[in-house]
Amino acid sequence: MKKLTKILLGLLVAATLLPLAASAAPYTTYTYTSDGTILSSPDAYVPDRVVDVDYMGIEDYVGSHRNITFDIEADYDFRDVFVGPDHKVYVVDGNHGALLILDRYYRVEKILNKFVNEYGVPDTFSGPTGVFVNDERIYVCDTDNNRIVMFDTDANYIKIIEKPQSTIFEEGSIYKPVAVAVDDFGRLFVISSTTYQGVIVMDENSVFSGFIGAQKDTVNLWQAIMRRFQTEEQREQSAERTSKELNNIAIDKDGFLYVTTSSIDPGMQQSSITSKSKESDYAPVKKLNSSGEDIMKRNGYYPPSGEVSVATSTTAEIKGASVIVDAAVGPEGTWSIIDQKRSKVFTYDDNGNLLFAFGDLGDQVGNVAKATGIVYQDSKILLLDKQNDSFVVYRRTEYGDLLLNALKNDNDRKYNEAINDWTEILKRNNNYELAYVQIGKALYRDGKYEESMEYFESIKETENWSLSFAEIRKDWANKYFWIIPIIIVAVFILVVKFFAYARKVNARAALKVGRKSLREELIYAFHVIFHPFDGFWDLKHERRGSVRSATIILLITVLAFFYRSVGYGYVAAPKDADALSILGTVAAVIMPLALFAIANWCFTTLFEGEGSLKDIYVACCYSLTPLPVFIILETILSNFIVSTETGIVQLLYTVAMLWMGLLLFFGMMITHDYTIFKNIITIIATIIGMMFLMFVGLLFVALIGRMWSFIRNIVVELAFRS
Amino acid sequence: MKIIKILSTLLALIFIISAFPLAAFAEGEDETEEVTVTDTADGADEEGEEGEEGEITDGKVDYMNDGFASREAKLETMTVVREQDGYRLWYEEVTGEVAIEQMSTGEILFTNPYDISAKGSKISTTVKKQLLSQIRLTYLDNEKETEMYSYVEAAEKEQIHLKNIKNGIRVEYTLGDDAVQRLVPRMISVERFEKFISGPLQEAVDEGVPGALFAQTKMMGFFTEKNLAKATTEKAVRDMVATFPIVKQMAVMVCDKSIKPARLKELEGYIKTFCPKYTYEELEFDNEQTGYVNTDAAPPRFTLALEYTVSEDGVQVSLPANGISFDEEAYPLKEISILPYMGAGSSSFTGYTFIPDGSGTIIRYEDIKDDIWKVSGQMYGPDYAYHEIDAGNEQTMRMPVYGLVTQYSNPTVALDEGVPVYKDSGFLAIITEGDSMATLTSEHGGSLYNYNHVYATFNPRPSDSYNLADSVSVSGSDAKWTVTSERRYTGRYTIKFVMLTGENGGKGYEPTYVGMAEAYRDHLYEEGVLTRLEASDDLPLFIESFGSIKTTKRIASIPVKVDAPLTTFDNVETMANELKAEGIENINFKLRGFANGGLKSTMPYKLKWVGELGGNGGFSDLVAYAGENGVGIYPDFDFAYLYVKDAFDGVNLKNNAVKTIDDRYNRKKVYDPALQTLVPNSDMDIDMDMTAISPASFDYFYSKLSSNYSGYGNPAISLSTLGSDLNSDFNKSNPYHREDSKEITTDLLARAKEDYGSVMVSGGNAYVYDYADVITDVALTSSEYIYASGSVPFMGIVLHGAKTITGEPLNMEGDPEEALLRAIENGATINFTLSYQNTDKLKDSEYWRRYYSVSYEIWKDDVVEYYKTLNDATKDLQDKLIVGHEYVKAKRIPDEDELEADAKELERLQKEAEEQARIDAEKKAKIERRNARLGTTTTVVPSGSKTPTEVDTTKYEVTRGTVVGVEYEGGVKFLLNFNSFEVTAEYDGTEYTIGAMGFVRIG
Repeated sequence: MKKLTKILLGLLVAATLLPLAASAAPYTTYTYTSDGTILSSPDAYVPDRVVDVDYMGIEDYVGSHRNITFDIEADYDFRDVFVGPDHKVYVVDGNHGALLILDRYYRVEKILNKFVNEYGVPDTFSGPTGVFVNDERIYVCDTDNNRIVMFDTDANYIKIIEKPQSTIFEEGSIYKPVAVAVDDFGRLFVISSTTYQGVIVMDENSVFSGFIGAQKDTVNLWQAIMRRFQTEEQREQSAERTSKELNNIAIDKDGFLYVTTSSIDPGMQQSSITSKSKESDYAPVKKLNSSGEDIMKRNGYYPPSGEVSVATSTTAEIKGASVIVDAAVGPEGTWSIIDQKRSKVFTYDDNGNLLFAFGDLGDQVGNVAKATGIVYQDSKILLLDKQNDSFVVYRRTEYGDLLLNALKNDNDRKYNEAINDWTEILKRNNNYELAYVQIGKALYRDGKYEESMEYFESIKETENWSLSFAEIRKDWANKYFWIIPIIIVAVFILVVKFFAYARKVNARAALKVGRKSLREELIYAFHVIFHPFDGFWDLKHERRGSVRSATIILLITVLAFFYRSVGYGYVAAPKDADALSILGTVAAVIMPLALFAIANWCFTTLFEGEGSLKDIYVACCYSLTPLPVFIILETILSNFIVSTETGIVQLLYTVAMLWMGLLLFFGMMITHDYTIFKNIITIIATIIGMMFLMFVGLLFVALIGRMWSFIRNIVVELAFRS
Repeated sequence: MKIIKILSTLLALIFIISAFPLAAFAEGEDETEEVTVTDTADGADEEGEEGEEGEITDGKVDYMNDGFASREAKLETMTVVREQDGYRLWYEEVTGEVAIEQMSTGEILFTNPYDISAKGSKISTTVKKQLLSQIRLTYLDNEKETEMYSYVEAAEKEQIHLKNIKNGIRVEYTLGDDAVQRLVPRMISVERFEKFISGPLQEAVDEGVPGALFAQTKMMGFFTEKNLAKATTEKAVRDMVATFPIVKQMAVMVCDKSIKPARLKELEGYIKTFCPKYTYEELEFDNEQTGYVNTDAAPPRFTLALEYTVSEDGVQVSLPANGISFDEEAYPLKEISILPYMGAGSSSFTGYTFIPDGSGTIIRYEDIKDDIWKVSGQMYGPDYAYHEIDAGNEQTMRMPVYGLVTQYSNPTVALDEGVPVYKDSGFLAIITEGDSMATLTSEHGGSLYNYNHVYATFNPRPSDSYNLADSVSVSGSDAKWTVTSERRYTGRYTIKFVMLTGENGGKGYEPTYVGMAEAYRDHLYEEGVLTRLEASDDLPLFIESFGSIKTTKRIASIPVKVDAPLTTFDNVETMANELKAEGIENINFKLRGFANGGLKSTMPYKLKWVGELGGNGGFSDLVAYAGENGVGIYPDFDFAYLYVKDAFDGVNLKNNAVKTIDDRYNRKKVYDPALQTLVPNSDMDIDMDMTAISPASFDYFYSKLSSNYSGYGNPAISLSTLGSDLNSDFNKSNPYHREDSKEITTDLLARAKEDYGSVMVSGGNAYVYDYADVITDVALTSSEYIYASGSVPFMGIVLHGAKTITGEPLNMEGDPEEALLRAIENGATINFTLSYQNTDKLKDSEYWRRYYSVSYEIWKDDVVEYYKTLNDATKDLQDKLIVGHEYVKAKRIPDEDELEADAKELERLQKEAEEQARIDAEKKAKIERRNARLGTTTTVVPSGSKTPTEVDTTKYEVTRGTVVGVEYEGGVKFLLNFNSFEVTAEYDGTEYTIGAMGFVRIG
């Protein structure tokens, strides 16, 4: 069967591949920006060699060891790879039922495929899947025999660890150990492929001490509703389906476990990445402490769950969430996971920052067809390729060394050295956002706030930026503490003066007969906003305002909004306003206003409203008055705040909007001389009318578009079929 | 090692045995079903009883079963049709096979493997028929790709004909069936059927004529009676009337509608044999009477010819493209493979195929073993006029050559000497015409058919498919529509075969990849494409600098687009001065994005140097400076792609852009490593859409640009993309295929060469060699496929000494040290991508952020160091050819603990041996004592075990290909170590220690 699939795959490979790229490694190494686009990076690891069966020298070994029975003609099925403390490499071959022990240069040193158990009976493995090695012991998951076999490091048999006896195990449940990790206290953490209660914890005498880290069986709303209508049986079935079994495990030097699973709903897995969730509910990899709590830090831009930018179109060949099948623990708190779907390795630091992702599908050296296992060997990474019966050795580059050194210095709290490393990294890779953050942080710690802000700004970072800015602001406030009260007093006096002046003008204008001057009309707006009832009444009946002044107010509002979009403080809007257009702003302000005015006019004419379209327009525009005042204030202030204060500033905007809403409401009431109740009705009707207008408008646009594409299609089809 | 020994012994045995006359020929040979000419097969079987395997006395060959023990045995069944210029052409008239014999050496090159039916062959008949084909073509039958093989569709139908032409022969093929009217009534009245057909058949059966009963059964199986009187239900009547209105008038016999042409032919045979009264006139009558109208589609039918012409340096095989005729409407031709099994090498021997994948790669038979694998690549990379492009991280094929080396044994020699003698032979194929439309494939039959072959496939009618859902409202998202271009290629596809025999007219091309490279190199020198380089004192160093990039800057909190300078003209001078001060004399700059808006530039039409970089004056000053200081300046202009469209930039997309088959503009696609697929570049950078520009417009833009550029005292010019990209154009009114584009591109390059003296391109497609002086971004490795056996510096061997080549920029390589070694291996110099300031601005563009480390300040020291290392090693070799390349056996230097372990192991072995010796001595003493006691003379067998003095160190041997020896003219040799550890290698009798990722120069 395997042969056949190989042949088929061989034929598949035959699809003509047109070449493109050209660098030493047949993949691009990259990281992600905070907005989910990729940033190329220098290769942290480059392929060194492919170690296949020939390279290991299995044939020679079998040839020169007559006491071994090993069918070299049979197919191999490499299922796991592990590196022992002495850098020896252990490869599990499920098909031969053998553990291949390779020296650190990947030549076979021993083939362990049979042993004599304590009863003196020769015994073999059946479909072994996982291996774990520490200073003293080799543990082999003898999967199809439902047991773990323990050896010493010279591969001498010690004992068989049978299925743990426990009542928690369901009746008739099957125990299929596929991966195991052992901590310094000799506790075994076993992943059984058919067990979904979590990691089995036991000791080497098969004494069961519990399950930890079960993948929460989360149901979405729809499933929850469905369950209410299901029979007991159906419920059980769906529970089986939704139960999440784990698939692999790795242990770090502090005894923390990295467990992986590939059975999470891919949609949920991906949406928890895109929503930057820090929760573990849909995380395909978790870091567990010995009591099973997830202690993984997910402080990167995205949770460490594999690929971020994925194709969603149904025709894409590779789409959807990553399939995580193994994790490996590297030096300095780094760890890697592999995505079998994409044949990629994602490496993170202790905080969950993506350090780099590399790898690709394919049949070039350095790419793998089906990645099933990953392990670190000192500065190398070994990636097991199940399909090609081999593993690829990647060696760390100078850049990778730098990265690791920087992390080391960070971990050792040698920040000054770390800053040098990060600077060096930045030189090699000015795309590397983590380096900007780290340098910025280091500068911050050194009190170089302005410089640190530059680093944060260049990657649009805000949280750390705020911290630095707060310090600067504090310094500034300390230095110029006297200026703040002066400004407050000055502003206060100005405001008071202005309103006094406005009152005077308005009072004068009230007595004036005939047409008011433009200045008077505009100043009147400040009367309207504080005294809406008589303000709007006079606006209409005394002609205190005009279309002219109303339009000016509208334009000022538009400009205020424009100022808001370009001049907003960095903290709340760190992005460059590249796609900014004045036309867009104009449309965003004028469109709703126009819609409201027209819809309102349409209804009020039917409901005995007394205002003409012009009256409505003028009233609407005058209602806008609070907006520019508050928006300009908000925008100015937004340049002096830190991220925690954004809410306060944005409150100004909300207040302005509410105020405007109230003015609009009363304005309409007065203009049409309605009762409150009637006004509420017409306002609601107006809103519905606005939607209706929009709907008609969209329909019209869509229809035109349809018609256009119809005509185009006819032309195109005619052209092709003629 | 052991397995090879066993294998070779086995082979030797087979050959010795098979050399004796064997009576067992018929035995074990299965009766094949598909014997076409019955008497031939019978005859062969009878004769085969006595005759030697494969040698059939009456001259008839059973192609499916006759194995030939040797090449000569096969030749005996062929006839000489031409003898000229030291070559002899042999021809096999049934299969159309041709053998080329080089008379001086007796070397033979077969178009098809001769030993497909050798003893023990497990190849199925279907595959054997494919192996005997000289033409394989693919056509579309109802949008479905269908293959045709010349053996099945032409040879078996006796539709291969030979003609003599000047200097050679022409083999004409007709593949497929003629549209013929078979003498079989498709609808006939029952009475007439009885009278003419079933009646006579019945008579024959009654008379006991052999075969008649079978014919009758067959015949009746295909005919059904349609008779209203016999219809049982009303519905049946209605149905019958609806489908066959004629039944209202008479009862008819109807032939099965879905009858296959082959069966029809069979029925015709029976009618002709048993129903002599039924003639075409009667058929006419029946058709008229029943109103039957023939609706059979004509079967696919292709006629074409292969022309073999002989000249002094080899044999050319040519397929005139305009001589291919077929029904374009019904069966569009997709591609033709010419001589797909030429010189195919059997996996029972050693050998390899060669394809120009990147720098070149070889695929050894022993490395691929039983795996079925096929790798192909389009010459000169993807064509961005197509929708259907598939690409990944592979290298591009840039030289139109392929080749094969295989070992074979000569049994006549074997008989004389008693041991088989193995010899290598091989060929190099050079596509001299139609190369840009070729796809090269190296195919390995593995367990299916055990042969390895490499060949070229051409597409004479460029066609592309597009998704209808994208342009027309069709339900179903995957509806594809294939359209063939109006513009067809009417030239020829010519492949020149150079036999690598070791002594070709004194030139001596060894049957190795080096020999192949030499053959191609000689070919290019003879054609005048390459001329020897004049050496300069120092290696040239190349630096690619970026001019400016558009970034957004806030001025009074309002965002404004500004040109951020990355390298100003002054900066270029500064860099040159600083590097000169470090002792680098030969510096060249490629200026990318210095004009017309910087990196995101408009089409080269006007020429406006970016003001922030120094403007027009700045460039003039730089040119003056460069002239005084001997610095090379190569401003880069891209005619193949449009980055930014601007008003008044001279671009009218309707006229200038490449159109796809459905009349759209197409963009260059780039590989997105996250999505692992190609995406249009504009998805990555909205400011750079990279619309492909039609070759038709190259001249227009060049003329405009040149009128501006020539005012600067004619410095050199760089036209990067013209050397790496080749796009056709499906424009309805003015279509261009790739051969047209190639011609236009070379014309433009010729003009540029004339106007500006020195031209720089990137990539290095073969058609630019005549014009380009500097080729950057040349692949220095292959794609390194897992199944391939290693990269070979084929391109380097061909080009070094004639062109200045560089690899990828060293600072963008994952491992610069390895890249430096590759440069030595390929005879390349180095280049860097360096800019002087603001390099972090590149990060804001999703396209340009791939240049993540281009700061001059950071790399300066490394530039000097790397350059000096390379310059010291190879500066005196610039004009020397590369004459040798080989994989060197080397050993890793063992670690301390390994030596310790070895010592222990040795001790153990010695102890064991001592123990053995002691036992032997005891035994000996015992026997001697017994001899002495009994007076017998039992001899003592010496145990033969020697005390080992050293342990086996083969485990320290490094993988083949990781230590390489390169030889230049004049005896200078390099040993290169691509391992990340130190090794020792024995080379020419001396042992060398080579550092990790290091090299040693000898001589």
